[in-house]
Order: sequence, then C-alpha cells, then structure tokens
Amino acid sequence: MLELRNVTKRYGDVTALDGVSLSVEAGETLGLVGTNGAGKTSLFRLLVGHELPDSGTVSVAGIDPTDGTRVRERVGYLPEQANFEPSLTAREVLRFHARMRGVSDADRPRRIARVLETVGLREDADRRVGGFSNGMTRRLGLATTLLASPQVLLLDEPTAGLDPQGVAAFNDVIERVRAETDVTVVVTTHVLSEVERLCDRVAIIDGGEIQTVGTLAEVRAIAGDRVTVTLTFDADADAAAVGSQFETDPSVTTTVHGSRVEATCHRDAVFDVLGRLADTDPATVEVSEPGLEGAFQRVLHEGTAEMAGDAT
Amino acid sequence: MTDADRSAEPDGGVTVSAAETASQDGTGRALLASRVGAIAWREFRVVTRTRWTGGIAVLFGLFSLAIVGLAGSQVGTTRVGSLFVTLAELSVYLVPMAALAVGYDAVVGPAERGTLDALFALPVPRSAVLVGTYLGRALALASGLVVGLAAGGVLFAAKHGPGVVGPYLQYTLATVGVALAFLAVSVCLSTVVSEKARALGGALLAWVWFVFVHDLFALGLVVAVQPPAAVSTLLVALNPADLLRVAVLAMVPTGGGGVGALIASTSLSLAVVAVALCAWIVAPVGLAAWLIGRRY
Repeated sequence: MLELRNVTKRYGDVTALDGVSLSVEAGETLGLVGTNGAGKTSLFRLLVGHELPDSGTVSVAGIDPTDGTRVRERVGYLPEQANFEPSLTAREVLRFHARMRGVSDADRPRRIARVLETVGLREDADRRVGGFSNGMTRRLGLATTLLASPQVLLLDEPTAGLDPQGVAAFNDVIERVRAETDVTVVVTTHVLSEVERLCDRVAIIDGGEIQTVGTLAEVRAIAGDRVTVTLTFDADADAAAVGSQFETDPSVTTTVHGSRVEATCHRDAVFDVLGRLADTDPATVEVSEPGLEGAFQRVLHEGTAEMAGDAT
Repeated sequence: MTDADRSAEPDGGVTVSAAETASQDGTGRALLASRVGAIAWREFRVVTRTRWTGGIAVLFGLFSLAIVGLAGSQVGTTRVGSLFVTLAELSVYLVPMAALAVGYDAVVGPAERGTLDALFALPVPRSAVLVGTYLGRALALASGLVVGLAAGGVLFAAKHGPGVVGPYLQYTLATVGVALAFLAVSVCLSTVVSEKARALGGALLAWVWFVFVHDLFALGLVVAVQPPAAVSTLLVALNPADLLRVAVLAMVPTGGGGVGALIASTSLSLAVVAVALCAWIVAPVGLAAWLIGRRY
C-alpha cells in the first residue's frame, strides 16, 4: 500500500531523510516514532507529494506522489498544524472538504452526517469552529480526511497539545475507524502509549534514518528484559536502608533519590526482589517494564548496529 | 473502473474516487476549475463574515453619498465633471488602502493559523489554492465596493438625471479594477513574507509608494529629463492608482497641472487602461501562485 525505497531528502546542508526504506501493508497501522526533527514530517510531505525526493522512490496506493495531486485523492492527510477558519461551522468545513474531494452533491449530506457521527461531533455540527476545543478541532480534522473513504490515512502528531481526555477521545475514533474500515494508517506521535494502543507495527526514526521497524513485541524486545521496582517511603532513611540491602547483590542495580528507591533486575528475578522487600513498609510500590519507552531510549542512545542481535 | 478506484464503505455504499468523478464530469480541467471555485466561495464567506465586505460597503457608501450630496446643487456638465474628479481623487487614496487591507493576510494569515496546511492536504495544486483565495477575496472586495458606490450612484442619478448613470458605472468599474489590482499586489506580498506583521508593513509601504511617492518620482523624472511620451505613458501605467485617474479623465476632460497634466499628456485609451489593470492583476497573482509552491 505504501512503500519508500532508499529515499533521501535534503534541505540545503540538512539531510532530513537519509536512505529511508519502509513499507506498510494494506490495512496495517504503523506508528512512526521519533524526536522533533527526526524526519517524520518530511517523510509525510514526500508521501503526499508536497516534496520531491532527491533520490529513491515513493509509492502510495500504487501512485507516485509526485505525479500531480492524484495521491491526495486516495490519501487522507492530517497535518500537524491543520486548523480551520474559526468563522465557519463544522458542517461548512466538511461540506467544503467533501466538494474538494469529489464527493457528489447528492452523496454529500449522508457522508457528512456519517463522519460527524464517527468523530463524535454530530451535536456540534452547526457550531462555529472558533468555539471548538483543540480536541474537537483535531477530530474535525480527522473527519475531513475520512469524507472520501481514503485508502491511506496519514496522521502527523494528531494528539499533540491535547489534554488526556482529548487524546482518549481522538484515539477512540481511530480505533473505531480501524474496526469499521480496512484503511491503512500511518501515525506519528511522541506518546508511546498511543502506539501501544493503536498500532500493529512501529518504526523508530532518528537523524533521518529508520533505526528500527517491527511489530510491537519485536521493538519492545530491544529494550531487553530488565524490570524496575520503584518504592517510595515516608522517610529517606527507610529508602536508604533498602538501597543498602541490595548493595552486595550484583544482579540488582539500586538508585536512591531521597525517599524513593529504584531497583532494576532481570525479569525472572523480580519476584525474588519483591520477596526480599516484604518486611519493609513502603508508601507506594510500582513495577514497570521498559516497553516501547525503553526501546525508544535505547535506540536513540545506542543506535541500531549494537542492538541488531538483541532485537531478533 | 478498477478496484483501486472504488472502495467499499461500512454502510454498504461505494466510494467513487474523485478521479472517476473527473472523467464523468468531462475533464480534469473542469474538476480543477470546480475546486478553485469552491476555494473562492469558501474564502468569500470567510471574508464577508469578518465584516470586511460590510465595512467597505459602509465606507464607500458614506464616501460617495457625502461627495455627491454635499457637493452643491449646481447642475451642469462642469459640476458633474468636477464631482467625478473629486470622487476619483479621493478613491485614489481609499481604494488602494481598502484593497491592501483585505489582501495583506490572504496567505500569511492562514499560514499562521494553520488553515493553509489543511487546504494543502486537499487534492489540488497549491497554485490553485492561491488563485481561489484571490478570487474569493476579489469577490468580497468588489461586492463591498459596488454596494457602497451604488448608494452614491443612486443619489447622483436622482440629482443630475439618468445621463450620469453611464459615466458613474464606468467610474465604478474602474474603481473595482484598480481595487482588484491592489488586492493582487497585497496577496503577492502576503505570499512573500513569513509573518502577518511584515505583510501589514509591506502593504503600508505599497500604499505610500503608489499613492504618494510614485507620482512625485514620476513628476520629478518628467521635469528633470522630459522623456518621450511613451515613457510618460509607462510611468502612469506603472501605478494602478493613476490608471483610475486616466479612466475618469477620459470621461470628463479637465485641465490642471501636476499629475493631472502628466496623465493628460499620455496616450492611454480606456482599452489600454483595461489591459494594464489586467496585467496588474495577472502578474502579481501569477507570481504569488508560483511562489506559494516554493515557500510552503
């Protein structure tokens, strides 16, 4: 459905994308994760034909995106900064986008009603967009991309700047769209929990290069199998006592920050560690696996070459 | 139609791609024209809702009513002629200002608000977004001007008879033409700059240049060098505001010195004025359409 082969894109002396190769199958949801300036938006701009690659090939739904505007007929693209004229109502915005996307006059009202329902804005359809919250505006943006039943959805940091409720509402809509259609979705985000919730696969991009790509389980495995047990106490002395308890154990790494102590150990040893803490009286106990966050941090700090063996 | 062109929807419907719609409608060009029209209509609504159109209608309504109503009651060719000259002279200040105000944030404003990104995500070239934006603002500006000037026109005809209707329409048409030329200049400025404040500054500079400095420069050149008539004609054609004066002077030949004398010395016919105004519209809009694909 979507394929980049050895794509390079430069802006002057800056290499935004460096030999990127990536493919996404039909119906799949790919999370594209990277720091600011990693190349995510540049990649999207190539996919929708806003930029030409300096080298390599790009194909979306079998179309070369640089071939006029044809690719945007089949792609729903929600740019990061997409906004709408505050003086227009949501229905007017959708009517305009439907017309621009070639939805016939007769079919327009039905389509608009359906996407309003899908994104949960039916009750607000005739309100001016200027009165919308950020979350509602983002859902309206998603509605504009769904009007012509696209084959591919490209969502560039769709939940950036939203409050937790807005993020949850937006992700609910994405899940609904995924369940109801066979649309292929590529979503960029900094929020790794979103990737865990929405995506089949994840690609980590850094410095214009795809550092790793795989299923969630494959990428999580990059982080290794270390588990962190975090305890907080009412008194700093209690935390220090726990820290010293593990000082002589090379299989457990402890760090004490005031009244908080972190003990990191192998996944298999976590119950043993918890058992040794049974006599303590912590205020809170938290056990966390590194997951995607750990994998992301490791990819950024260590690069792919060192991890190649670990990831498989 | 291939499978790729159709896609099943959850409710059992079938999506017909816009590419297919294009072939049903006739040509891709017709589809593009339809989309430019949709952008223009949207822009018109946005501008009219921000009350620019209403404000311009009120401004030019009061302006034309005041001049026509307060300019004495003497009837005759001279009086009518001086009224047109007065209207034109004041229009030379007000029309560029109104047009530059309507157009200065046409591109950079939506870019700052993020609405331009949403437009660029649509299946339409960026140059078409620019042209549609210009057309929508042009319609809003022209509507305001025509409605406002119509108020003065009605009073003019009531005071001086139906014979003034034709020249007044010509004055109105020339005013709209000049306004659209200045709008094109401001839309081009709006595409070049990266901040709304800079666009406003550029629009003010353009107003000062075309309304004050250009004529001083042209007069100075004529006095100092005494260039051939073709150069004088070119100097006048290089200022859309002077083209309005030419259009009015063609209706009511008057004497006088300064810029009026310079204009009277040129051989600009109304047809040439029309062509020059068209060039003043097409060139900046064309440049902006070319630039917008590179800037964003």
